[in-house]
Amino acid sequence: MGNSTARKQTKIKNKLLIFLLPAVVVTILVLVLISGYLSRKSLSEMATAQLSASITNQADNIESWLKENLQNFSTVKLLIEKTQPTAGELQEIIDANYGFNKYCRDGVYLATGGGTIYQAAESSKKISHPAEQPWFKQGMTRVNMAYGTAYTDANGASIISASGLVNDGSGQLKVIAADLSLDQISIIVNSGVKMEDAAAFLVDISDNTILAHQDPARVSTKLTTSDTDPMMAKVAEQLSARKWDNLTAAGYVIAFKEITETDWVLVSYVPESAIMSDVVKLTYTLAIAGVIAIVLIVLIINFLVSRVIAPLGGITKNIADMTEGDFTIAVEHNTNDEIGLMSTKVSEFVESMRKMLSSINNESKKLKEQSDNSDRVSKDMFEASRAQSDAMQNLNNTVDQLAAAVGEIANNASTLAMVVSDTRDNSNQANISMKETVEISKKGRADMEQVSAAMQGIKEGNDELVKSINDVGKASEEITKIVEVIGEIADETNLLSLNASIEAARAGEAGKGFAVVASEIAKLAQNSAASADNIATLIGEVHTAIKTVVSQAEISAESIDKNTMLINTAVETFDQIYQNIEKSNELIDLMIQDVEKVDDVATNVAAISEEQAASADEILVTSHRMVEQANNITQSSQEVADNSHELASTSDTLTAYVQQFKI
Amino acid sequence: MSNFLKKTLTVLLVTVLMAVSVCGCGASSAGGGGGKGKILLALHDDTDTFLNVLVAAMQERAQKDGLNIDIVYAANSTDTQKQQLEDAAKAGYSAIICRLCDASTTLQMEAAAGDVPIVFINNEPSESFLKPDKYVYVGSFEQDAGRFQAEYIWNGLGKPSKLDVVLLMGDQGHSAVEPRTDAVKYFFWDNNVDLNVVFCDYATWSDTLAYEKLDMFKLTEQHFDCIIANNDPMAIGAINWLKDNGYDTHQYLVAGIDATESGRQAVADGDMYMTVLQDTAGQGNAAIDAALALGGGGSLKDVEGATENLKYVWVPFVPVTKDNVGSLK
Repeated sequence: MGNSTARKQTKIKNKLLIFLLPAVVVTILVLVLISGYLSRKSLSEMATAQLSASITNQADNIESWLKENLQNFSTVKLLIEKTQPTAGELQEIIDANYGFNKYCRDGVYLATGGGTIYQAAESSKKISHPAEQPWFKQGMTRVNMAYGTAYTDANGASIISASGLVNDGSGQLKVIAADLSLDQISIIVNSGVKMEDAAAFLVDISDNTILAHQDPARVSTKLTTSDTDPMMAKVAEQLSARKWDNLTAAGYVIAFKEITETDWVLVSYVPESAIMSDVVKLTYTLAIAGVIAIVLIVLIINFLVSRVIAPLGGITKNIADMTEGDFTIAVEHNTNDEIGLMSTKVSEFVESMRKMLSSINNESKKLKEQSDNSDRVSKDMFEASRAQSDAMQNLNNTVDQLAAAVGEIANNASTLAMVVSDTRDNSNQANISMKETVEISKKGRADMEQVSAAMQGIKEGNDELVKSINDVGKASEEITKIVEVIGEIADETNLLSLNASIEAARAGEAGKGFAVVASEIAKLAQNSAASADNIATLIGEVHTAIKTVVSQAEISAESIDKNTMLINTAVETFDQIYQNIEKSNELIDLMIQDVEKVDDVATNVAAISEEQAASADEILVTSHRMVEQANNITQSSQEVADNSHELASTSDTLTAYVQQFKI
Repeated sequence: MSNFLKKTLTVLLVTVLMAVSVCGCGASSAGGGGGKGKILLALHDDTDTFLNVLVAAMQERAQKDGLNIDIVYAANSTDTQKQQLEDAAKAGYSAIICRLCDASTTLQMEAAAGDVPIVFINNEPSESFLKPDKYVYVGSFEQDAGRFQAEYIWNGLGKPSKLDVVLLMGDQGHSAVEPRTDAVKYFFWDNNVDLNVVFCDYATWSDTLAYEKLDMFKLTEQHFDCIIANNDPMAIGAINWLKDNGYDTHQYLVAGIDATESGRQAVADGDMYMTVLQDTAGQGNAAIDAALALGGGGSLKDVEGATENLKYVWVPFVPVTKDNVGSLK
C-alpha cells in the first residue's frame, strides 16, 4: 500500500482514453485508407472495364460494319461468278448496284488482267493501268473479297479497298473491288466511343498506318515509336510488340482490340485524370466522413467510459478509507456488471470486517475487564497476605512474649515452688499476672482466629484468581478462534481478489483498472491475515502468561493450604494453650485458695511451665515458618499482580489494535 | 514500457483484425472433393478427323480409369447443341466437354448448361466468355503452331530476307484460323523478313478446296516460295497442286498442322516439309482432367498446363519433320 501513494495516481478513465482514442483514431484512419484504396482500385478497375467494354463495343461495330459492307460487295461478286455475264451484262450489274451502299461512293468495279475496266457509269473514280493499282494487286491474293491496306487513290483520297479474284470459271484474271474512305471509317470509329473523355483510333499493324483518328491530320500517316506524343509513341511500342493488355502510360489508360479478319488494331484511351476525378472526390468524402466519425466516436467513448467506470471512483475511495482503517463507509452497488459485483463484494467484506472487529473489540474489552479484575483481586490478595504477614509478625512477637512469659511463669513457678509457702502476696501478684496472661492468651487466640479467617480469604481470593485467569484463558481461546475466522476471511478475500484479477484479465483492457483494485484488496487481505497472525501470536503470549499465572496461583494455593493447615494447628495449639492457661489459672486460683497445697502444685506448675516453654518454642518455630509462608504468599501475590498487570497491558495492546479500525 | 508496448501491439492487432474482417467478408470458400461424376462429351459433328482421334483418346482414358462418359453429336446445329446441353444439365452430368458448333454461341451454351461446368475443346471461345474454374478451354496454343510453321519454313529456305508466301486458311470464323495465320505473319515481321503474302484465302480445312483456290492463284501468275496451310489436308491439297503443276515440293516448301496420318506420310515421303502435331491424346487427357477437376468442385490449378487465370489448359504442340516423323505412330 505504501508504494501506491508514492506512485503518481492516474484515473482509469484517462488511461482507458489514452489507449482507446488512438486505437479508434487509427482504426478509422485505417478503414478510411483501406476503403479509399479499395474504392480507388475498384473505380480504376471499373473505369478500365468500362474502357474495355467501350473498345469491345467499338470493335464489334467496326467489325460488323466492315462485314456488312464486305457481304454487300461479295453478293455482287457472287452474282457475277454465278451468272457469268457478258461484258454488257456485267456493266448492267455494276450500274444496278451503284448507290446501293451509301458508304461506297464509287460502287463496285472490276478490271481484267488485260486492262479492261468495268465501273458504274455514275462513278467518278478514275482508273488507269488497273494491274498497277494497289486494289488490283491486293485482290490477286485472294478469291474471297477482303480488305487490303490503306492507300491514296487517284483523286487524292485515303481509302481502303475490298477486293478479290473473280472465280467465274472463265480462266481469265479478273479482280473485283470496292472502296471505303478512311474518313468514313474515322466517323464509325469515333462515334462508337461509349465512355466519357475517351477517344479511339485504328491502326493497321501490317504497315503501322493510322486508318482512323479524331485528328484528320493523323489519318493515313505512319505510327512510329518516335512519335512526339509520348502516348502515341507508347502505343506504337505496344503494337510492334503486339501486346494487347490494358496499360497505363503517359497519363492515359489505354486499351487495345484486334479487329478480326484484318491486321487492324483499335486503340482506345482515356485520360487517367478523368478516371481519378471520381476517386479524388470519393477520397475527400471518405476523409470528411472519417473525421466526423472520429469526433463522434471520441465523444461517445468519453461518455460511455465515464459512465461505466464512475462507480470505480467510489469503490477506490472506499478501499482507501478501508486501508486507513475506516470501516464505517457505505459502499454503493447499483450496477450489474463486474464493477457492481466488486462493489457488492467490497460491501460484504466491509460488513464482515465490521462485525469481526466489533466482536474482537468486545472480546478485548472483556479481557481487559477480566485482567483488571484479576489485578484487583491480586492486589487484594497482596494486601491480605501483607496483613497476614503483619498479623503473623504480631503473633510471633506475642508468642515471643508468651514464651518469655511462660519462662517467667516457670521461673516464677520455680521461685514459687521454692518460696510458695511464703508468697501469698506474690500469689495475688501471680493471679494478676495469670489473668494478664489469660487476656494475652485470649487476644492471641483471637488474633490466631483472625489469621485463620484471613487465610481463608486468601484461599478464596486465590481460587477466584485462578478462576478468573481460566476465564481469561477461555476468552483468549475465543479470541484465537475469532482470529482464525479473520484469517479465513482474509484468505477468502485474497481468493476473491485473485478471481477478480482473473476476471479483470479476461475483461482485458476494460478490466485493467479493476485489476488494480483487486490487487489492492489482495494486499489488504494479506495485511488482515498478517494482523490476525500478530493477534494470534499476542494471544498465544497471553495464553502462555496465563498458564504461568495459573501455575503460580496453584503453587500459591498449595502454600496457602499448607499455611491454613499450619494455622489451624496453631489455633488448636492456641486452644490447648488457652485451655492450659485456664487450667493454670484455675490451678493458680486453686493455688491461691490452697496456697498451702501449692508446694506440690508449684512443682507441677514448674514442670507444666517447662512443657509450656517447650510448646511455646515449638509455637515460635511454627509461627516463624508461618511468617516465612506469609512472606511467600505476599511474594506470590505480588507476582500474580505483576502477571495480571501484564495481562492487562496485553489486552490494552489488543484493544489498541482493534481501535485502529473505525466500526 | 514493455506494458505500453504490449498495449500498443494489442491496439494494432485489433485494428488489423478489424480491417481484415471488414475486407475479408467477400472471400468465398472453394469447395473440395473429387467425386467422379458423369461427363458428357457434346460434339458438333462426327465427321471431323481430328476430333474423332481426340474422342478415341478420351474414350481410351475413360476405359482405363473407369470413367462414365456419354457422347452426343449436334450435327453442326447450334440449336441441337443448345438442347443437348440443357438436357445434360437436367440429367445431372457433373461436367460437360464441349466442341462448339460456333464459337460465337458460347454464352448461350453456358446458359443452357446451367450450373454445370464446361470444358471447351477444339473450337476456342473468346476469352471474355470464359470464367476461371467454370468455363475453361483445353487446347493447343494456336499461335505456337503458326510460329513453328513459319520458323521451320524460313530455316528450310535458308533464312531469306524476302519471302513470297501462300497462306491457306481453314474455316472462316474458326478460332484457330486467325492465331495460326497471324503467328506466321508475326514471325516474319519480328525477324525483319520482307513478307509478301501473294495469296491468302480460306480453303475450309479441305484438300480439294485448297487445290481449287491454288488454281485461282495460278491465274495471277505470281511468284511464291512456300505454301503454309492451317491444317494437313489443305497442305496435301497444296502438294497435289504443286505436283500437278510441275513444282518440286523440295523447292516449294509446304507446311501443315495436325500431323494426321496422311500428313505424317507426306512428311515421311518428303513432300510436306513439316507439320505440327497437336497432341491429341494429351488434349483428350487434359480435357478429362479438367472436367474431373471442375466437376468435383475443384480447381484447374491441379491440372498440368493450366494458365494463371485458370481459364485455359494449354497442351504443347510438337513440330514434326522428316527427322522425328518416324517416332510417331
